[in-house]
Amino acid sequence: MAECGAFAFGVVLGWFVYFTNRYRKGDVQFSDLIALLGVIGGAAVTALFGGASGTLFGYYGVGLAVGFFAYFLVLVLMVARSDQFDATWFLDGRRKALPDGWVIPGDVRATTAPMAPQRPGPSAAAPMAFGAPEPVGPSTESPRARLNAARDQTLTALTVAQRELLRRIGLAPTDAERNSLQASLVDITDQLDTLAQLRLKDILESDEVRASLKTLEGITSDLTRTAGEMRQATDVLTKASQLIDRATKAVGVITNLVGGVL
Amino acid sequence: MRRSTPLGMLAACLCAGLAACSPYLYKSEVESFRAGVNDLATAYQSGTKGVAAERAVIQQTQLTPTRTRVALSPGCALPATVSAAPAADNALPCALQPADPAMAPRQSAPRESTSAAPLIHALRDYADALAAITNAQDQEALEAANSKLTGSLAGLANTAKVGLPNEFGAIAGLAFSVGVATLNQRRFDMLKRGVTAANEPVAVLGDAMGQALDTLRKARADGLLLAGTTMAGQINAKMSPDDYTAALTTLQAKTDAIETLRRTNARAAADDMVKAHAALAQALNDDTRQVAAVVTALKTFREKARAVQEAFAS
Repeated sequence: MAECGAFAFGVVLGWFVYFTNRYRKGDVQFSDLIALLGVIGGAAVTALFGGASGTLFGYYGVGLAVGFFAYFLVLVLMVARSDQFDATWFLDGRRKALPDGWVIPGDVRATTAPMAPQRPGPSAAAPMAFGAPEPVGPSTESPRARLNAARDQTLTALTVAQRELLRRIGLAPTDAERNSLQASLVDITDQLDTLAQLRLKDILESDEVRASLKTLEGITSDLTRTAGEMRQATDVLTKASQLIDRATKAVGVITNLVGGVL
Repeated sequence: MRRSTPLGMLAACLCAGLAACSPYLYKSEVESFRAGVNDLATAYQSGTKGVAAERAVIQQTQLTPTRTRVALSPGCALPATVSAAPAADNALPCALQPADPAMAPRQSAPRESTSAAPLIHALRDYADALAAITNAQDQEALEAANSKLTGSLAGLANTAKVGLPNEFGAIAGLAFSVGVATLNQRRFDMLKRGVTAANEPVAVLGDAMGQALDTLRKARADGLLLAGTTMAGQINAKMSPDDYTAALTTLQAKTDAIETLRRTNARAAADDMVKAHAALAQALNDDTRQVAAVVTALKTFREKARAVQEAFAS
Protein backbone atom coordinates (compact mmCIF):
# COMPACT_ATOMS: atom_id res chain seq x y z
CA MET A 1 0.00 0.00 0.00
CA ALA A 2 2.81 2.37 0.89
CA GLU A 3 4.39 1.66 -2.50
CA CYS A 4 1.14 2.55 -4.28
CA GLY A 5 0.90 5.73 -2.30
CA ALA A 6 4.48 6.73 -3.14
CA PHE A 7 3.85 5.88 -6.80
CA ALA A 8 0.62 7.91 -6.90
CA PHE A 9 2.30 10.78 -5.15
CA GLY A 10 5.04 10.69 -7.76
CA VAL A 11 2.47 10.62 -10.59
CA VAL A 12 0.70 13.68 -9.26
CA LEU A 13 3.95 15.54 -8.76
CA GLY A 14 5.28 14.50 -12.18
CA TRP A 15 2.08 15.70 -13.86
CA PHE A 16 2.36 18.97 -12.00
CA VAL A 17 6.04 19.39 -12.93
CA TYR A 18 5.17 19.15 -16.61
CA PHE A 19 2.23 21.51 -16.10
CA THR A 20 4.43 24.06 -14.33
CA ASN A 21 7.10 23.83 -16.99
CA ARG A 22 4.53 24.22 -19.74
CA TYR A 23 3.14 27.43 -18.34
CA ARG A 24 6.46 28.75 -17.15
CA LYS A 25 7.24 32.44 -17.71
CA GLY A 26 10.73 33.56 -18.46
CA ASP A 27 13.80 31.86 -19.82
CA VAL A 28 14.99 28.34 -18.94
CA GLN A 29 17.94 28.44 -16.56
CA PHE A 30 20.09 25.86 -14.74
CA SER A 31 18.91 27.27 -11.46
CA ASP A 32 15.43 26.02 -12.38
CA LEU A 33 16.79 22.49 -12.43
CA ILE A 34 18.30 22.86 -9.00
CA ALA A 35 15.05 24.26 -7.67
CA LEU A 36 13.15 21.39 -9.26
CA LEU A 37 15.47 18.80 -7.74
CA GLY A 38 14.98 20.45 -4.40
CA VAL A 39 11.24 20.08 -4.71
CA ILE A 40 10.98 16.59 -6.10
CA GLY A 41 13.98 14.97 -4.41
CA GLY A 42 14.74 17.15 -1.46
CA ALA A 43 14.71 16.40 2.23
CA ALA A 44 11.04 17.24 2.54
CA VAL A 45 10.08 14.41 0.18
CA THR A 46 12.48 11.78 1.48
CA ALA A 47 11.37 12.58 5.00
CA LEU A 48 7.85 11.53 4.01
CA PHE A 49 8.95 7.99 3.30
CA GLY A 50 10.45 7.35 6.74
CA GLY A 51 12.57 4.24 7.28
CA ALA A 52 11.68 2.59 3.98
CA SER A 53 12.78 5.61 2.07
CA GLY A 54 14.92 3.65 -0.44
CA THR A 55 12.11 1.44 -1.82
CA LEU A 56 9.42 4.05 -1.54
CA PHE A 57 11.58 6.65 -3.19
CA GLY A 58 12.02 4.22 -6.08
CA TYR A 59 8.23 3.94 -6.48
CA TYR A 60 7.98 7.68 -6.11
CA GLY A 61 10.58 8.23 -8.83
CA VAL A 62 8.79 5.86 -11.21
CA GLY A 63 5.50 7.61 -10.46
CA LEU A 64 7.13 10.96 -11.11
CA ALA A 65 8.30 9.82 -14.53
CA VAL A 66 4.90 8.29 -15.33
CA GLY A 67 3.09 11.49 -14.34
CA PHE A 68 5.49 13.67 -16.29
CA PHE A 69 5.30 11.66 -19.50
CA ALA A 70 1.59 10.95 -19.09
CA TYR A 71 1.00 14.67 -19.43
CA PHE A 72 3.08 14.69 -22.59
CA LEU A 73 1.23 11.64 -23.96
CA VAL A 74 -2.13 13.29 -23.32
CA LEU A 75 -0.89 16.31 -25.26
CA VAL A 76 0.21 14.04 -28.12
CA LEU A 77 -3.20 12.36 -28.19
CA MET A 78 -5.03 15.71 -28.21
CA VAL A 79 -2.82 17.07 -30.98
CA ALA A 80 -3.39 13.89 -32.99
CA ARG A 81 -7.16 14.25 -32.62
CA SER A 82 -7.27 17.98 -33.44
CA ASP A 83 -7.37 19.16 -37.04
CA GLN A 84 -5.92 22.53 -35.99
CA PHE A 85 -2.56 21.15 -34.84
CA ASP A 86 0.00 18.70 -36.11
CA ALA A 87 3.29 17.33 -34.83
CA THR A 88 5.15 20.51 -35.78
CA TRP A 89 3.50 22.23 -32.83
CA PHE A 90 5.89 20.19 -30.67
CA LEU A 91 8.83 21.62 -32.58
CA ASP A 92 8.19 25.34 -32.81
CA GLY A 93 4.62 25.93 -31.70
CA ARG A 94 3.17 26.47 -35.18
CA ARG A 95 -0.55 25.86 -35.68
CA LYS A 96 -3.29 26.66 -38.14
CA ALA A 97 -5.00 30.02 -38.29
CA LEU A 98 -8.14 30.43 -36.23
CA PRO A 99 -11.18 29.37 -38.31
CA ASP A 100 -14.14 31.73 -38.70
CA GLY A 101 -16.43 31.66 -35.72
CA TRP A 102 -13.68 30.51 -33.31
CA VAL A 103 -12.29 32.75 -30.64
CA ILE A 104 -9.65 32.46 -27.96
CA PRO A 105 -10.74 34.19 -24.77
CA GLY A 106 -8.26 36.73 -23.52
CA ASP A 107 -7.97 34.99 -20.16
CA VAL A 108 -6.62 31.72 -21.60
CA ARG A 109 -3.30 30.77 -19.99
CA ALA A 110 -0.16 31.22 -22.03
CA THR A 111 1.66 28.04 -23.03
CA THR A 112 5.02 27.30 -24.56
CA ALA A 113 5.54 24.66 -27.22
CA PRO A 114 6.48 21.46 -25.40
CA MET A 115 9.78 21.01 -27.18
CA ALA A 116 10.65 24.60 -27.98
CA PRO A 117 12.85 26.67 -25.71
CA GLN A 118 10.66 29.71 -26.26
CA ARG A 119 7.25 30.23 -27.70
CA PRO A 120 7.58 32.16 -30.97
CA GLY A 121 6.00 35.61 -30.81
CA PRO A 122 2.87 36.15 -32.85
CA SER A 123 3.34 37.85 -36.17
CA ALA A 124 1.69 41.27 -36.34
CA ALA A 125 0.17 40.47 -39.71
CA ALA A 126 -0.97 36.94 -38.94
CA PRO A 127 -4.27 36.38 -37.21
CA MET A 128 -4.23 34.88 -33.74
CA ALA A 129 -3.84 31.14 -34.28
CA PHE A 130 -6.22 28.64 -32.82
CA GLY A 131 -5.18 27.78 -29.32
CA ALA A 132 -2.65 30.59 -29.27
CA PRO A 133 -2.49 32.05 -25.79
CA GLU A 134 -1.79 35.52 -24.55
CA PRO A 135 1.82 36.57 -24.99
CA VAL A 136 4.30 35.20 -22.47
CA GLY A 137 6.68 37.42 -20.54
CA PRO A 138 7.32 40.85 -22.00
CA SER A 139 4.39 42.41 -23.88
CA THR A 140 4.39 41.72 -27.60
CA GLU A 141 2.40 44.90 -28.37
CA SER A 142 3.96 47.21 -30.94
CA PRO A 143 6.39 49.78 -29.58
CA ARG A 144 3.95 52.51 -30.66
CA ALA A 145 1.09 50.91 -28.73
CA ARG A 146 3.31 50.61 -25.65
CA LEU A 147 4.34 54.23 -26.07
CA ASN A 148 0.71 55.32 -26.37
CA ALA A 149 -0.24 53.34 -23.29
CA ALA A 150 2.64 54.89 -21.35
CA ARG A 151 1.64 58.33 -22.57
CA ASP A 152 -1.96 57.81 -21.51
CA GLN A 153 -0.78 56.67 -18.08
CA THR A 154 1.41 59.77 -17.80
CA LEU A 155 -1.50 61.99 -18.79
CA THR A 156 -3.60 60.44 -16.04
CA ALA A 157 -0.78 60.82 -13.53
CA LEU A 158 -0.26 64.45 -14.49
CA THR A 159 -3.96 65.18 -14.05
CA VAL A 160 -3.78 63.63 -10.56
CA ALA A 161 -0.75 65.81 -9.86
CA GLN A 162 -2.63 68.87 -11.09
CA ARG A 163 -5.43 68.18 -8.63
CA GLU A 164 -3.03 67.62 -5.78
CA LEU A 165 -1.24 70.88 -6.57
CA LEU A 166 -4.55 72.74 -6.65
CA ARG A 167 -5.37 71.33 -3.25
CA ARG A 168 -1.98 72.39 -1.87
CA ILE A 169 -2.19 75.84 -3.45
CA GLY A 170 -5.43 76.34 -1.57
CA LEU A 171 -3.74 75.36 1.69
CA ALA A 172 -0.42 77.20 1.15
CA PRO A 173 0.24 79.36 4.21
CA THR A 174 2.60 81.87 2.54
CA ASP A 175 2.74 83.71 -0.76
CA ALA A 176 6.18 82.28 -1.48
CA GLU A 177 4.96 78.72 -1.12
CA ARG A 178 1.88 79.50 -3.11
CA ASN A 179 3.94 81.00 -5.94
CA SER A 180 6.24 78.01 -5.96
CA LEU A 181 3.27 75.63 -6.18
CA GLN A 182 1.71 77.81 -8.86
CA ALA A 183 4.92 77.56 -10.90
CA SER A 184 4.77 73.77 -10.56
CA LEU A 185 1.16 73.82 -11.66
CA VAL A 186 2.07 75.83 -14.76
CA ASP A 187 4.89 73.43 -15.52
CA ILE A 188 2.76 70.32 -15.10
CA THR A 189 -0.09 71.81 -17.09
CA ASP A 190 2.35 72.67 -19.86
CA GLN A 191 3.68 69.10 -19.90
CA LEU A 192 0.16 67.79 -19.93
CA ASP A 193 -0.71 70.00 -22.88
CA THR A 194 2.41 68.93 -24.76
CA LEU A 195 1.65 65.25 -24.22
CA ALA A 196 -1.99 65.71 -25.19
CA GLN A 197 -0.90 67.50 -28.36
CA LEU A 198 1.49 64.68 -29.23
CA ARG A 199 -1.24 62.15 -28.66
CA LEU A 200 -3.59 64.07 -30.92
CA LYS A 201 -0.89 64.47 -33.54
CA ASP A 202 -0.49 60.70 -33.68
CA ILE A 203 -4.21 60.32 -34.27
CA LEU A 204 -4.52 63.08 -36.85
CA GLU A 205 -1.48 61.91 -38.80
CA SER A 206 -2.39 58.24 -38.75
CA ASP A 207 -2.70 56.48 -42.10
CA GLU A 208 -6.32 55.66 -41.34
CA VAL A 209 -7.29 59.30 -40.80
CA ARG A 210 -5.35 60.47 -43.86
CA ALA A 211 -6.94 57.83 -46.07
CA SER A 212 -10.42 58.66 -44.73
CA LEU A 213 -9.84 62.36 -45.29
CA LYS A 214 -8.85 61.72 -48.89
CA THR A 215 -11.85 59.47 -49.49
CA LEU A 216 -14.28 61.96 -47.96
CA GLU A 217 -12.85 64.82 -50.01
CA GLY A 218 -13.34 62.72 -53.16
CA ILE A 219 -16.96 61.98 -52.22
CA THR A 220 -17.58 65.65 -51.41
CA SER A 221 -16.16 66.65 -54.76
CA ASP A 222 -18.49 64.22 -56.58
CA LEU A 223 -21.50 65.42 -54.58
CA THR A 224 -20.70 69.08 -55.23
CA ARG A 225 -20.27 68.49 -58.96
CA THR A 226 -23.54 66.58 -59.21
CA ALA A 227 -25.33 69.23 -57.16
CA GLY A 228 -24.06 71.86 -59.60
CA GLU A 229 -25.30 69.86 -62.57
CA MET A 230 -28.69 69.44 -60.93
CA ARG A 231 -28.91 73.11 -60.18
CA GLN A 232 -28.29 73.82 -63.86
CA ALA A 233 -30.92 71.28 -64.90
CA THR A 234 -33.36 72.81 -62.44
CA ASP A 235 -32.63 76.28 -63.77
CA VAL A 236 -33.21 75.11 -67.33
CA LEU A 237 -36.53 73.51 -66.38
CA THR A 238 -37.60 76.57 -64.41
CA LYS A 239 -36.70 78.94 -67.26
CA ALA A 240 -38.40 76.69 -69.82
CA SER A 241 -41.56 76.67 -67.74
CA GLN A 242 -41.41 80.45 -67.40
CA LEU A 243 -40.98 80.87 -71.17
CA ILE A 244 -43.83 78.49 -71.94
CA ASP A 245 -45.95 80.30 -69.36
CA ARG A 246 -45.33 83.66 -71.04
CA ALA A 247 -45.91 82.21 -74.49
CA THR A 248 -49.12 80.60 -73.28
CA LYS A 249 -50.38 83.88 -71.87
CA ALA A 250 -49.48 85.67 -75.12
CA VAL A 251 -51.33 83.01 -77.13
CA GLY A 252 -54.33 83.47 -74.83
CA VAL A 253 -54.34 87.25 -75.31
CA ILE A 254 -53.95 86.98 -79.10
CA THR A 255 -56.64 84.33 -79.31
CA ASN A 256 -59.03 86.49 -77.35
CA LEU A 257 -58.22 89.51 -79.54
CA VAL A 258 -58.69 87.54 -82.75
CA GLY A 259 -61.93 86.10 -81.39
CA GLY A 260 -63.15 89.61 -80.52
CA VAL A 261 -62.40 91.01 -84.01
CA LEU A 262 -64.06 88.10 -85.72
CA MET B 1 -67.80 75.26 -67.21
CA ARG B 2 -65.89 72.53 -69.02
CA ARG B 3 -65.77 69.05 -67.55
CA SER B 4 -62.62 66.94 -67.19
CA THR B 5 -62.17 64.31 -69.87
CA PRO B 6 -60.89 60.79 -69.13
CA LEU B 7 -57.52 61.67 -70.70
CA GLY B 8 -57.19 64.77 -68.54
CA MET B 9 -58.11 62.77 -65.45
CA LEU B 10 -55.59 60.10 -66.37
CA ALA B 11 -52.87 62.73 -66.76
CA ALA B 12 -53.82 64.26 -63.42
CA CYS B 13 -53.72 60.80 -61.78
CA LEU B 14 -50.31 60.11 -63.31
CA CYS B 15 -49.07 63.45 -61.98
CA ALA B 16 -50.31 62.53 -58.51
CA GLY B 17 -48.76 59.06 -58.86
CA LEU B 18 -45.41 60.53 -59.82
CA ALA B 19 -45.52 62.86 -56.86
CA ALA B 20 -46.37 59.98 -54.52
CA CYS B 21 -43.64 57.73 -55.90
CA SER B 22 -41.04 60.49 -55.82
CA PRO B 23 -38.18 59.41 -53.55
CA TYR B 24 -37.96 60.89 -50.06
CA LEU B 25 -34.91 63.15 -50.15
CA TYR B 26 -34.28 63.50 -46.39
CA LYS B 27 -33.99 67.26 -46.81
CA SER B 28 -34.70 68.20 -43.22
CA GLU B 29 -32.57 65.33 -41.91
CA VAL B 30 -29.59 66.30 -44.05
CA GLU B 31 -30.06 69.92 -43.03
CA SER B 32 -30.12 68.86 -39.38
CA PHE B 33 -26.93 66.83 -39.87
CA ARG B 34 -25.27 69.83 -41.49
CA ALA B 35 -26.34 72.08 -38.62
CA GLY B 36 -24.88 69.66 -36.08
CA VAL B 37 -21.56 69.41 -37.94
CA ASN B 38 -21.49 73.21 -38.14
CA ASP B 39 -22.05 73.42 -34.39
CA LEU B 40 -19.06 71.16 -33.77
CA ALA B 41 -16.94 73.10 -36.26
CA THR B 42 -17.90 76.36 -34.56
CA ALA B 43 -17.09 74.81 -31.19
CA TYR B 44 -13.64 73.90 -32.46
CA GLN B 45 -13.03 77.40 -33.78
CA SER B 46 -14.20 79.14 -30.63
CA GLY B 47 -12.31 76.63 -28.48
CA THR B 48 -9.07 77.37 -30.33
CA LYS B 49 -9.64 81.10 -29.96
CA GLY B 50 -10.51 80.60 -26.30
CA VAL B 51 -7.23 78.80 -25.58
CA ALA B 52 -5.27 81.68 -27.14
CA ALA B 53 -7.34 84.23 -25.22
CA GLU B 54 -6.75 82.44 -21.93
CA ARG B 55 -3.02 82.44 -22.56
CA ALA B 56 -3.17 86.20 -22.97
CA VAL B 57 -5.17 86.54 -19.76
CA ILE B 58 -2.66 84.41 -17.85
CA GLN B 59 0.19 86.53 -19.14
CA GLN B 60 -1.55 89.77 -18.24
CA THR B 61 -2.36 88.50 -14.78
CA GLN B 62 1.26 87.46 -14.25
CA LEU B 63 2.82 90.64 -15.66
CA THR B 64 0.54 93.31 -14.24
CA PRO B 65 1.49 93.12 -10.51
CA THR B 66 5.22 93.38 -11.27
CA ARG B 67 4.82 95.94 -14.10
CA THR B 68 7.24 93.84 -16.14
CA ARG B 69 8.71 95.35 -19.31
CA VAL B 70 7.32 93.63 -22.38
CA ALA B 71 8.36 93.13 -26.01
CA LEU B 72 6.96 91.63 -29.19
CA SER B 73 8.15 88.16 -30.07
CA PRO B 74 10.38 87.67 -33.18
CA GLY B 75 7.48 85.92 -34.89
CA CYS B 76 5.75 89.30 -35.28
CA ALA B 77 8.15 90.12 -38.14
CA LEU B 78 6.39 88.33 -40.97
CA PRO B 79 8.39 86.90 -43.89
CA ALA B 80 8.14 88.71 -47.24
CA THR B 81 6.07 85.90 -48.72
CA VAL B 82 4.63 82.83 -47.12
CA SER B 83 6.32 80.49 -49.60
CA ALA B 84 9.73 82.12 -49.00
CA ALA B 85 9.62 81.43 -45.28
CA PRO B 86 10.98 78.18 -43.89
CA ALA B 87 8.29 76.05 -42.32
CA ALA B 88 9.71 76.46 -38.82
CA ASP B 89 9.86 80.22 -39.24
CA ASN B 90 6.26 80.26 -40.35
CA ALA B 91 5.24 78.46 -37.20
CA LEU B 92 6.66 81.18 -34.94
CA PRO B 93 3.74 82.92 -33.30
CA CYS B 94 3.44 86.66 -32.92
CA ALA B 95 2.89 87.36 -29.24
CA LEU B 96 3.59 89.68 -26.37
CA GLN B 97 6.32 88.46 -24.04
CA PRO B 98 8.47 89.75 -21.16
CA ALA B 99 11.47 91.73 -22.42
CA ASP B 100 13.74 89.64 -20.19
CA PRO B 101 14.11 86.27 -22.00
CA ALA B 102 14.55 84.52 -18.65
CA MET B 103 10.99 85.45 -17.76
CA ALA B 104 9.55 84.36 -21.09
CA PRO B 105 7.08 81.50 -20.76
CA ARG B 106 8.26 78.14 -21.99
CA GLN B 107 7.22 77.44 -25.55
CA SER B 108 4.48 74.88 -25.44
CA ALA B 109 3.67 72.42 -28.19
CA PRO B 110 2.82 74.21 -31.43
CA ARG B 111 -0.93 73.86 -31.54
CA GLU B 112 -0.99 74.76 -35.24
CA SER B 113 0.87 71.58 -36.18
CA THR B 114 -1.78 69.45 -34.54
CA SER B 115 -4.69 71.37 -35.91
CA ALA B 116 -7.75 69.33 -36.68
CA ALA B 117 -9.03 72.12 -38.92
CA PRO B 118 -8.51 70.20 -42.22
CA LEU B 119 -10.51 67.31 -40.84
CA ILE B 120 -13.30 69.55 -39.58
CA HIS B 121 -13.38 71.48 -42.86
CA ALA B 122 -13.66 68.20 -44.74
CA LEU B 123 -16.64 67.10 -42.63
CA ARG B 124 -18.32 70.48 -42.99
CA ASP B 125 -17.76 70.55 -46.75
CA TYR B 126 -19.23 67.08 -46.97
CA ALA B 127 -22.33 68.11 -45.00
CA ASP B 128 -22.69 71.19 -47.22
CA ALA B 129 -22.44 69.02 -50.34
CA LEU B 130 -25.15 66.70 -49.01
CA ALA B 131 -27.37 69.70 -48.37
CA ALA B 132 -26.66 71.00 -51.88
CA ILE B 133 -27.84 67.69 -53.32
CA THR B 134 -31.13 67.90 -51.46
CA ASN B 135 -31.41 71.67 -51.85
CA ALA B 136 -34.95 72.61 -50.90
CA GLN B 137 -34.87 76.00 -52.59
CA ASP B 138 -34.17 74.54 -56.04
CA GLN B 139 -36.95 72.08 -55.53
CA GLU B 140 -39.44 74.68 -54.36
CA ALA B 141 -38.65 77.01 -57.29
CA LEU B 142 -39.16 74.14 -59.68
CA GLU B 143 -42.46 73.11 -58.15
CA ALA B 144 -43.71 76.71 -58.11
CA ALA B 145 -42.81 77.12 -61.79
CA ASN B 146 -44.50 73.82 -62.60
CA SER B 147 -47.67 74.82 -60.78
CA LYS B 148 -47.79 78.20 -62.48
CA LEU B 149 -47.23 76.69 -65.91
CA THR B 150 -49.88 74.01 -65.43
CA GLY B 151 -52.35 76.66 -64.33
CA SER B 152 -51.71 78.92 -67.32
CA LEU B 153 -51.87 76.01 -69.78
CA ALA B 154 -55.16 74.84 -68.30
CA GLY B 155 -56.45 78.41 -68.46
CA LEU B 156 -55.45 78.67 -72.10
CA ALA B 157 -57.15 75.40 -72.94
CA ASN B 158 -60.31 76.67 -71.28
CA THR B 159 -60.39 80.09 -72.95
CA ALA B 160 -58.68 79.53 -76.28
CA LYS B 161 -60.70 79.45 -79.41
CA VAL B 162 -57.98 77.91 -81.56
CA GLY B 163 -58.90 74.27 -80.96
CA LEU B 164 -56.51 73.40 -78.10
CA PRO B 165 -57.54 70.13 -76.50
CA ASN B 166 -58.94 70.38 -72.98
CA GLU B 167 -56.26 68.02 -71.66
CA PHE B 168 -53.39 70.15 -72.95
CA GLY B 169 -52.64 71.66 -69.56
CA ALA B 170 -52.76 68.37 -67.72
CA ILE B 171 -50.55 66.61 -70.28
CA ALA B 172 -47.99 69.44 -70.27
CA GLY B 173 -48.00 69.30 -66.48
CA LEU B 174 -47.44 65.55 -66.63
CA ALA B 175 -44.45 66.01 -68.92
CA PHE B 176 -43.03 68.54 -66.53
CA SER B 177 -43.64 66.27 -63.54
CA VAL B 178 -41.74 63.48 -65.27
CA GLY B 179 -38.77 65.84 -65.60
CA VAL B 180 -38.97 66.79 -61.91
CA ALA B 181 -39.33 63.16 -60.82
CA THR B 182 -36.31 62.16 -62.89
CA LEU B 183 -34.28 64.90 -61.25
CA ASN B 184 -35.44 63.88 -57.80
CA GLN B 185 -34.58 60.27 -58.46
CA ARG B 186 -31.10 61.37 -59.51
CA ARG B 187 -30.79 63.43 -56.34
CA PHE B 188 -31.81 60.44 -54.26
CA ASP B 189 -29.43 58.06 -56.04
CA MET B 190 -26.52 60.44 -55.60
CA LEU B 191 -27.40 61.01 -51.95
CA LYS B 192 -27.63 57.28 -51.31
CA ARG B 193 -24.36 56.55 -53.08
CA GLY B 194 -22.52 59.42 -51.39
CA VAL B 195 -23.74 58.76 -47.85
CA THR B 196 -23.12 55.02 -48.13
CA ALA B 197 -19.58 55.52 -49.43
CA ALA B 198 -18.86 58.16 -46.80
CA ASN B 199 -20.06 56.07 -43.88
CA GLU B 200 -16.69 54.56 -43.05
CA PRO B 201 -14.58 57.72 -43.55
CA VAL B 202 -17.09 59.68 -41.47
CA ALA B 203 -16.73 57.10 -38.68
CA VAL B 204 -12.93 57.40 -38.68
CA LEU B 205 -12.91 61.19 -38.99
CA GLY B 206 -15.71 61.53 -36.43
CA ASP B 207 -13.63 59.64 -33.91
CA ALA B 208 -10.58 61.80 -34.67
CA MET B 209 -12.69 64.94 -34.41
CA GLY B 210 -13.97 63.76 -31.03
CA GLN B 211 -10.39 63.29 -29.85
CA ALA B 212 -9.43 66.74 -31.16
CA LEU B 213 -12.38 68.40 -29.45
CA ASP B 214 -11.62 66.54 -26.25
CA THR B 215 -7.98 67.66 -26.32
CA LEU B 216 -9.12 71.20 -26.96
CA ARG B 217 -11.61 70.96 -24.10
CA LYS B 218 -8.81 69.97 -21.74
CA ALA B 219 -6.50 72.72 -23.06
CA ARG B 220 -9.24 75.29 -22.66
CA ALA B 221 -10.07 74.12 -19.15
CA ASP B 222 -6.38 74.18 -18.23
CA GLY B 223 -6.05 77.72 -19.57
CA LEU B 224 -8.98 78.80 -17.44
CA LEU B 225 -7.53 76.93 -14.49
CA LEU B 226 -4.13 78.65 -14.69
CA ALA B 227 -5.71 82.06 -15.24
CA GLY B 228 -8.01 81.39 -12.30
CA THR B 229 -5.32 80.23 -9.89
CA THR B 230 -3.04 83.12 -10.86
CA MET B 231 -5.88 85.56 -10.31
CA ALA B 232 -6.92 83.90 -7.05
CA GLY B 233 -3.36 84.30 -5.77
CA GLN B 234 -3.62 88.05 -6.20
CA ILE B 235 -6.83 88.45 -4.26
CA ASN B 236 -6.05 89.64 -0.78
CA ALA B 237 -7.33 91.68 2.13
CA LYS B 238 -5.63 94.85 0.93
CA MET B 239 -7.99 95.16 -2.03
CA SER B 240 -10.85 97.62 -1.95
CA PRO B 241 -14.30 96.01 -1.54
CA ASP B 242 -15.19 96.88 -5.14
CA ASP B 243 -11.98 95.41 -6.54
CA TYR B 244 -12.43 92.35 -4.39
CA THR B 245 -16.00 91.85 -5.61
CA ALA B 246 -14.96 92.39 -9.23
CA ALA B 247 -12.13 89.88 -8.89
CA LEU B 248 -14.44 87.34 -7.32
CA THR B 249 -16.96 87.81 -10.14
CA THR B 250 -14.26 87.26 -12.77
CA LEU B 251 -13.01 84.23 -10.92
CA GLN B 252 -16.53 82.84 -10.57
CA ALA B 253 -17.00 83.19 -14.34
CA LYS B 254 -13.87 81.11 -14.88
CA THR B 255 -14.95 78.35 -12.54
CA ASP B 256 -18.38 78.34 -14.19
CA ALA B 257 -16.72 77.96 -17.59
CA ILE B 258 -14.54 75.11 -16.31
CA GLU B 259 -17.58 73.44 -14.80
CA THR B 260 -19.46 73.72 -18.10
CA LEU B 261 -16.50 72.19 -19.92
CA ARG B 262 -16.28 69.45 -17.30
CA ARG B 263 -19.88 68.49 -17.98
CA THR B 264 -19.40 68.57 -21.74
CA ASN B 265 -18.64 65.37 -23.57
CA ALA B 266 -17.26 66.37 -26.93
CA ARG B 267 -16.34 62.82 -27.84
CA ALA B 268 -19.90 61.66 -27.23
CA ALA B 269 -21.15 64.41 -29.55
CA ALA B 270 -18.75 63.26 -32.26
CA ASP B 271 -19.81 59.64 -31.67
CA ASP B 272 -23.42 60.68 -32.06
CA MET B 273 -22.57 62.40 -35.32
CA VAL B 274 -21.19 59.09 -36.58
CA LYS B 275 -24.30 57.26 -35.35
CA ALA B 276 -26.63 59.78 -37.00
CA HIS B 277 -24.76 59.44 -40.27
CA ALA B 278 -24.90 55.65 -40.03
CA ALA B 279 -28.65 55.84 -39.40
CA LEU B 280 -29.06 58.06 -42.46
CA ALA B 281 -27.04 55.62 -44.58
CA GLN B 282 -29.16 52.74 -43.34
CA ALA B 283 -32.40 54.57 -44.03
CA LEU B 284 -31.27 55.49 -47.54
CA ASN B 285 -30.52 51.84 -48.23
CA ASP B 286 -33.74 50.64 -46.64
CA ASP B 287 -36.65 50.41 -49.07
CA THR B 288 -39.19 50.78 -46.27
CA ARG B 289 -37.85 54.33 -45.68
CA GLN B 290 -38.14 54.29 -41.94
CA VAL B 291 -36.98 57.75 -40.90
CA ALA B 292 -37.77 57.46 -37.20
CA ALA B 293 -34.32 56.09 -36.32
CA VAL B 294 -32.64 58.86 -38.31
CA VAL B 295 -34.73 61.53 -36.63
CA THR B 296 -33.96 60.18 -33.15
CA ALA B 297 -30.22 59.86 -33.85
CA LEU B 298 -30.11 63.36 -35.32
CA LYS B 299 -31.99 64.83 -32.39
CA THR B 300 -29.47 63.38 -29.93
CA PHE B 301 -26.58 64.53 -32.08
CA ARG B 302 -27.94 68.06 -32.44
CA GLU B 303 -28.51 68.43 -28.70
CA LYS B 304 -25.00 67.30 -27.81
CA ALA B 305 -23.38 69.31 -30.61
CA ARG B 306 -25.23 72.42 -29.44
CA ALA B 307 -24.10 71.79 -25.85
CA VAL B 308 -20.48 71.43 -26.99
CA GLN B 309 -20.73 74.60 -29.03
CA GLU B 310 -22.13 76.55 -26.08
CA ALA B 311 -19.56 75.14 -23.67
CA PHE B 312 -16.67 76.05 -25.94
CA ALA B 313 -18.04 79.53 -26.52
CA SER B 314 -18.35 80.25 -22.82
